[in-house]
Amino acid sequence: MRRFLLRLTVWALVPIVLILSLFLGVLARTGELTRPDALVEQTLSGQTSLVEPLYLGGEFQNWYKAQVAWAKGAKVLVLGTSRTMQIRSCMLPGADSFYNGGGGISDLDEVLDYLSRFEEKKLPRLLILGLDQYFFNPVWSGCEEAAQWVYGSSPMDLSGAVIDAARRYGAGSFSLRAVLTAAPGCVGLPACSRQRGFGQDGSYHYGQDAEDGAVDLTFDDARRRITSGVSRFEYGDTVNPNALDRLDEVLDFCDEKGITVVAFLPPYAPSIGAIMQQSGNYGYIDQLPAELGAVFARHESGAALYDFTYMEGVTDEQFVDGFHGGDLVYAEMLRRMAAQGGPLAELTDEETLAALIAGAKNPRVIEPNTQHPVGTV
Amino acid sequence: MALSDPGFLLLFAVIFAVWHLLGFLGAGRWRWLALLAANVAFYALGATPALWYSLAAATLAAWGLGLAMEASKSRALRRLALAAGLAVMLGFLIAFKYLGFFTGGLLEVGLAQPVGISFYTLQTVGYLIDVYRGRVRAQRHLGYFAASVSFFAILTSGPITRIEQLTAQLRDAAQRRSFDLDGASRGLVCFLFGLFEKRALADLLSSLCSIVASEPGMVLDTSLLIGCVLYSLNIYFDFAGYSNMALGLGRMLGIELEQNFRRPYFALTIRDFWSRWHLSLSHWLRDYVYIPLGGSRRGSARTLLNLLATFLVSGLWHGAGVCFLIWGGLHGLYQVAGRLTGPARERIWRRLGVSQQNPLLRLWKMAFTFALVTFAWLFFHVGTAGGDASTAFEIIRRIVTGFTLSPRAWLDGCALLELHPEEGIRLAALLAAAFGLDLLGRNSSPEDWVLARPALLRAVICWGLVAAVLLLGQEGQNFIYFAF
Repeated sequence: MRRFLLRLTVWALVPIVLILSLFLGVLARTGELTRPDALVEQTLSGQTSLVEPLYLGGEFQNWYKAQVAWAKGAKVLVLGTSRTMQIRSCMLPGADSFYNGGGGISDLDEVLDYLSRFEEKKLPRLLILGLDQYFFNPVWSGCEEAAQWVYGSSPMDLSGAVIDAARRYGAGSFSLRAVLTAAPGCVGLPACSRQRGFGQDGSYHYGQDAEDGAVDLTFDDARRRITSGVSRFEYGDTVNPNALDRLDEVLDFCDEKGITVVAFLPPYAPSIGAIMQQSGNYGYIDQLPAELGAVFARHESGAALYDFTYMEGVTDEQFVDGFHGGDLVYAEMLRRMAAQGGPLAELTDEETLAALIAGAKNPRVIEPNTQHPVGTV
Repeated sequence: MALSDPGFLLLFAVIFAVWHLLGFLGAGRWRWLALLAANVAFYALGATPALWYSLAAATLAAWGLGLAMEASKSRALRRLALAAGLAVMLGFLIAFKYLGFFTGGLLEVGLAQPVGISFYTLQTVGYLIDVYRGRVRAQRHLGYFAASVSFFAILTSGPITRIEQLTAQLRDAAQRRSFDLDGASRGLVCFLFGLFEKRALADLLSSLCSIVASEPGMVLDTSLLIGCVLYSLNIYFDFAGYSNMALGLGRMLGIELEQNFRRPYFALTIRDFWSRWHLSLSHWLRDYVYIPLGGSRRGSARTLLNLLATFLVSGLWHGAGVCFLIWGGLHGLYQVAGRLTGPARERIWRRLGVSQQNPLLRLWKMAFTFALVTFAWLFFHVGTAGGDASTAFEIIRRIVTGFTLSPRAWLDGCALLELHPEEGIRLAALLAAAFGLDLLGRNSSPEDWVLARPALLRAVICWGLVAAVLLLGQEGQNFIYFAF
């Protein structure tokens, strides 16, 4: 029996322990073992530069962005889904304090509760609100009544995370050298190895994935969703009146609190937009500017609404996937918004944004991540 | 719970320790109880109530009716007991698995099919038939009998083991005090090899080819043919991996189970294929379906009919669906065609002056056999994915009409299956390792070949298998044969 246990140890247990210990070390080195609340504190104290942990359970992203936004109390706040995350502080140099809370909500019916959780003195003065088109599709979401913002983080599954990290390494997703040479302040495997993650200002960096090529090169995922009419590309003919009511409630709240709201409908990649228009299945989108405009007109807080759904003057190459524009797209959007005056004109100007756009070395990335050295793969 | 789950490995460590401790303490007579407790613990983590009831009923019915048959001197009563036993065993199987199929969906039990019901039904049915024939004695000890029927290593996906063989080994184990180092070492290496086949190969192949049967419209015509080949490899490594894990676990407890696979894709004919694939099922079908139908004793025409019937039963056993019937029927037709044309084919090769040992001829035969088997697997794959025969026929139509020699088309076909160059190289290396080890151990077994190497090489091979499982293993997919 002793000899068998020795064989078992040498042949099986030793390699298992060594390999799993190595990847436990990888998780520790990349900050994946950081507790969620500690991560929020590190962000608020400026210790983080890029944050994207892979293995924190629950809806960590929504929870993390909201916790930081509520604590930070920036005067200029961007809010919306992942389709607002590319607005960076460098695009709005006139803002005293800025935070991009994009990725902190998933649906329109959460916005009111989200805003209600700010302490009075930490409420934003200017809210840049991204209104995803499908919010107003009755097939997507009933929006029957305002929902509670209920996201939370939960403890990580450590053993699952170690094994997953080993498999990602085996699949070539990261190199050990990249992990060891990761820039300070990077938290999470994607942040350390691919320079992906949320920056200090809350905006999102697609990192090497955007610099190498679009995340979804030929927009296959979006095409499949349009073909099947699923996952935010559900077909719809009319605007959901419940969603308009939810928007009314948000603007009522902003009226009461003296928050100025600038809203926009984010763009689809040109080829995807063309497919959607040609399909004839998205009639509700064409009705949005008029319907939303009427809601905005009823409120003092409703400063402006911009429709970039089928944005002209941008190319597919500037998109990371079928419905997420890269940095240049959002800079161009801000340039057009500021050019029409209003609150944004006080925070940025055409020259600043044009310089950022012109200086981009990549169709999708407006500030190449020179502060985050690329780890070799 | 699957044999490849980390939770199971911890459970087995406890089972292993208790099993051998009982031997050392001279309490081997309680090993049956330890095994029964292990089986209960294994199923407690994830078993449905339906599993418990059907397994308990099948066990008690088979044990009780076996004793009743042996005790009865009246042939009519013995027949009645056999009929009652078959009614219980097959009744559960039909109710859970086939009722909807035979009634066109009008009647359904409405409960999830107990895992392994197809396997333990065959075991208990075979046992009752053997007792009826007088081939084996009825098992008097319910504990030994129950521990054998519910043996955790084989219940969910085989190998289909004769109950009397298992009870005999349990009785031997009751007397055994010494620890069999060689047996346990063989078992450990066999288990590692099976885990490698399942996690590093089968799960990867499954992630590449599952879309072919579930969403064929999303891929190119060339992807379909590539996917069919990948599925042939997938089902082999999935099933062989499980079987090797089961064999390994059994050996670590000193229980020898039947080898289920002998390099089936190196078969030269379909008949040869079935002497290498799922051997425990082949032997069961031979003993309890083919031979009772008359086997080859009633003339050639009847032999061919018996073969066809046996393979149709095999198809139906695998699944309640037309696709599985077609799969079984195809293999039956292959056998019939093979037997009818065999002598003529041999004459042709002789006249061409080509020896049967000619390497190119053997390669051609292997490739042709693989093609026939892969064609039949398409129906099996579609059936497993819940599709119907029309989907399979549409896939065949697209493969035939879309066939091209354009390298670009094949590369695009691979890309749509997410089989990119790096993935292809990794897959090729893993296949070379798996088939290589299998071939090196062809005279005995891969684990025997490994154990005969110098100590350092042994350790390197085992470390390589472990590293491949940890670093290259995919997210766990269910074993394909769990569904049966």
